[in-house]
Amino acid sequence: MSKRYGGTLAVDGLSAVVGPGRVTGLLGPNGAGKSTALRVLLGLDRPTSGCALVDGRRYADLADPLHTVGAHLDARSVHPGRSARDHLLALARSNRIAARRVGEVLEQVGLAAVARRRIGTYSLGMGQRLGIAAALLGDPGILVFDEPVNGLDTDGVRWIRGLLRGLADEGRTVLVSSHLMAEMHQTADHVVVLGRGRKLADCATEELADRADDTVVLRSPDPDAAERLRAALPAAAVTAARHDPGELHVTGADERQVGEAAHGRGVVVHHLARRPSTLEAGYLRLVGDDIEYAGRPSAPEGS
Amino acid sequence: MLRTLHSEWGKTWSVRAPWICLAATVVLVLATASSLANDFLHGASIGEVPEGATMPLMDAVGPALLLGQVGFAAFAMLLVTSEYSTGEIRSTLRARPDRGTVVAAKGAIAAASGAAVGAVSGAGAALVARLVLGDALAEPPAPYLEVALRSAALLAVAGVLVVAVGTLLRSAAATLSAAFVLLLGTLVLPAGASRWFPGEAASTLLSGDGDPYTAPVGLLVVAAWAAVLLGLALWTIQRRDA
Repeated sequence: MSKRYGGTLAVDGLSAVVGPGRVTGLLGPNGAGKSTALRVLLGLDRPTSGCALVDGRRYADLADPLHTVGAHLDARSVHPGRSARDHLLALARSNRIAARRVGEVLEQVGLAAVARRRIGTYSLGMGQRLGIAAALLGDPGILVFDEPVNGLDTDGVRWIRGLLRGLADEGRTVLVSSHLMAEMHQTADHVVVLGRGRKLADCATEELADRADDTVVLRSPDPDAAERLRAALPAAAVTAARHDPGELHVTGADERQVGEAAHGRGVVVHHLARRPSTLEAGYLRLVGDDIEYAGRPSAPEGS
Repeated sequence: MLRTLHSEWGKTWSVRAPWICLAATVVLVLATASSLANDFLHGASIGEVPEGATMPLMDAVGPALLLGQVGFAAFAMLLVTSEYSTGEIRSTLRARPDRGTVVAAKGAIAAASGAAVGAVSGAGAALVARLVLGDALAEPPAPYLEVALRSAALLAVAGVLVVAVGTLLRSAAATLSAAFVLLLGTLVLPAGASRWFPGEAASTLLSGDGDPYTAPVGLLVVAAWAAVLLGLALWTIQRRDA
């Protein structure tokens, strides 16, 4: 699918399948085309070429879409002068959803007590909860969230994490866009990374994170541990950590090789582990390449 | 269509502004009719108007309703433009991707509300004008039912027209000024041209004086404008990015 706005190609030949039973993270820097992709998927914008299908059908062809796809794009898709209850009631009526579902989802997101207050008086976090309530209203098998944890406190972030996991564990398809890598590392099973409208990666979250770091960390009380390891692992680079000379960072060898080398040279080992890889590092490496490419003078303008 | 109508109906009345717009429309029409009738009496008392002259009822009620269209246009406009100004349109169109149905439901609500507020303000203005004019009322005055029907028809059709313009323009300010120009501004066009525009047509519908055509033709002219604009609006919203 491609989408052009005037002279800007916001999404450029994106092709991806988002499967059920797992949380899929949609990642990418600002202007990468995440929101555009979601808008096309949800029938708000028309693709310039290609198509986005939900259960094999275009969104616009779904009779009562809230039963199939629940989405929360941003906390400003509501009229601030209306109460949460009236807002959800209007959505329920339009899609033949029983009115009692309104009370149920308000209870589920923790807004039951303020349901009759005008939405304009809500905090950003309460607005996010209302958006999620609207997404859950039709009990859909597919859920799409755009930056759902923005504006939530720690408690709210934990709640969302549990909610997304729970929805995926029930076998639903969950697609979440976010720029919070630590959060996505904990929540997403699978990631699709966009950069300048193109797909940069489409893989398991751990796979992207694992690409990030191949450093093995070893702690030893032996002052000459680095020298002994270098002798045993000529192909690897061994450096001491700046803050702690007893901590050695080895690249070019895996933890098995480092452990065997230490054993062979009689190095006392207090700690040996591969440095925990982060999704953020993997993401930055991937997107960093893309930003370098974008910065070349010959590259087209805009993003 | 019915559930979209039910949904849109609930949305319309669950915020404050529409109530205020409708109340303001009724107050505006009654106050203008009373003021025009009073001006006539004042003219008679200072000799501007010949002794024994009488005022036709619709000379007070007609202009009041023409002005009332603008108050009502604010109501009809909000049905659409508040969706765009608040961003609510993204919720609405995700729930009902058959966008034409949404616009049609809003048009139907504007028409029904226009009929109700038109009937109330038309009959009310006729009552106020009769009370103020007393003996200076020209006989026979148009019956209440007829005044109510004419003004109900006008505001119903004007409501659809404004919903269509709002859908095309999306901005509240642009819609209100376009509605003002179409519904009232076109009155200042040269007589040959203005008869084909909603201003003159609405005026003829209300006065029923047969100049330049009969009241039903006046209604048809306004309705034709509403129909063409609604067609454009439906065509546009199906193709435009939300």
